[in-house]
Amino acid sequence: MEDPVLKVEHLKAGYDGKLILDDISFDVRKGEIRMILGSSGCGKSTLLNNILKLAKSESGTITYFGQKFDAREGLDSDIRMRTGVLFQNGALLSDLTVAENAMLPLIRSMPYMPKSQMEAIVADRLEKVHLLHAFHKYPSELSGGMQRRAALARAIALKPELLFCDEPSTGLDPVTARSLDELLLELRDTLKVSMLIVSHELESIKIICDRFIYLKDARILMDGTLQQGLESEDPILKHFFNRQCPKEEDNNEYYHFDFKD
Amino acid sequence: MEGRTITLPAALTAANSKELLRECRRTLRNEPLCLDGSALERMDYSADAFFALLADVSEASGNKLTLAHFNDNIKAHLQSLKKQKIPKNDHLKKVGLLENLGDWGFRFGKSVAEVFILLNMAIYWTLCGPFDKGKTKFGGTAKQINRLGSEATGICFLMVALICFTMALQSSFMLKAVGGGSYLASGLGYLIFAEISPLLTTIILAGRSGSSIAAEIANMSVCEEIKAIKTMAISPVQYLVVPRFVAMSLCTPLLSFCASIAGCLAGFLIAYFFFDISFWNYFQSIRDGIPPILFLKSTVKSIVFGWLVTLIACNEGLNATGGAEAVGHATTSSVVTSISAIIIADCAFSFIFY
Repeated sequence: MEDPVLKVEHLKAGYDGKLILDDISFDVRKGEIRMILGSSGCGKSTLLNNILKLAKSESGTITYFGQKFDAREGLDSDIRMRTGVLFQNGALLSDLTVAENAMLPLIRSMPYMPKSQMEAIVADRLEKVHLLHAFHKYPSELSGGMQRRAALARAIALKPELLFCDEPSTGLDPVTARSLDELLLELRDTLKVSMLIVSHELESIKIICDRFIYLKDARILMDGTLQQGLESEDPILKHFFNRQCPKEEDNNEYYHFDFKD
Repeated sequence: MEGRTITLPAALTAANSKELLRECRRTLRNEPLCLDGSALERMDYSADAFFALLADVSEASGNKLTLAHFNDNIKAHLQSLKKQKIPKNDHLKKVGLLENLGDWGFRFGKSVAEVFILLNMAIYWTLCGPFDKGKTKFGGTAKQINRLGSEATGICFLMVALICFTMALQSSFMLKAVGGGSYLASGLGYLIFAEISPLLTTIILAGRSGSSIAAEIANMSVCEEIKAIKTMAISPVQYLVVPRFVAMSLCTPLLSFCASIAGCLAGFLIAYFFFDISFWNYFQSIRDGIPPILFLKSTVKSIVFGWLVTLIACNEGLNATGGAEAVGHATTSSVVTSISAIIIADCAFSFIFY
């Protein structure tokens, strides 16, 4: 079996003395869409930030493309250039046009490439995300969905081997969210990009997920395929995949009034 | 029946429950209370809290609360009223003076260290970056020169000129009294070039350009744009700090020098009208009164003050976390810290240079 493109082992992280992630281990195989699932506030985005070395981990190791790093170390810029990141709100630089945003990774990796060549590459990426018409537009002139697609164009500018997405379809209308999901599948199939996606959008999960990990109380509750998740008898996973609200015991205390007729 | 009876109105609403609640609570603290609900027909959102608070007072004081003649609907509603426990506010933990001082000292030390690290990195990227073929070059310096320097020209000139005019006017009365009108030009010129202009220009820049830098970068931090820059293997210092650092290093001494001339021109008006000193005589006196080394000292001061403004603003912006409040905090903190740092540095320069 091929080596995974990303392997996280025994990752531990937290802040303000609170443990958010405890002994997290999983991998991402080549060409698969791996998802990080869990309820709000369970540490999904923290896990992604720790893998991307945007937050400090306490211990553990992370292996990118066969190169092992201590989770507390910074990340090699060569590794960064082999990965792309799509942030939750796009995180486009507001003073640059869409094309200039998508050009940034190219300027960083190939400083002496002629501008015309960079523009041609950017045009190709924008065409892939169906946003070529917004080439000269500023982020403020785009809708939320278009900003997300522009950010995706920037994330795939260098044809990364591994793409990280933080809640890509959250806050989008169903049609735009669906088109973004289709786009991610298309990118996986055409560019053979492996993906690690943080999400809690059930519709998206059912469309794009190959394998997932489910986080609960700082640990991995389940690591498996989408099918295994859907068939799981674990009440938490059942509630999650069936979009059910767990019945809580009535531990409430009630006021007692003395009524008189 | 023992205790007092209060009759509730037909509608218990937020508009009338305030006074009623005050009266009921006062009564319940001293004696049992019976609320007569025979007229009560309608209650709004505030009524639940009204009865809950009275039940709490009754429990605390030991005086019985009786609800008499309530209709069945209201009875059923009140019987399902949950006790709400408001969680403790951890933010209100009492911290001692020593702990506060220690925390302030730690944060101050950390900020100073961070500014020095930023200075180190900014100097590296400014001086060595252009000669390193392996490094990417990002533009943006010209744009920053325009935004941070050129656009601040008007306000800097105006402020320095007005203050110099006032200074000249006030000192003219004293000089006239002692017959020292001929010293106005040289004294004023020395003071403007040595002190007023570098200090005032950079204080204005701290308020105008420094706050703009801090707000812009803080907003980028809050919107995850800095994270995005990092994930593209681009150094935020190289991309964001260096263009602003270079722009301010060039603009501050230039602005300070030009503002000094504006200040001298403003002083000339007083010299001309009060002492009848001609234009050429006035500038001849200024030239004679200022040693050439003063220009160098003034330039060095301006550059260092400009660095302080830029680096403090950038550091505040890069460290901003949270939401809109963080942007406001970074901006305020940047202006206050920059102005304090400029004045402290000015004191230090006075000892070193003069």
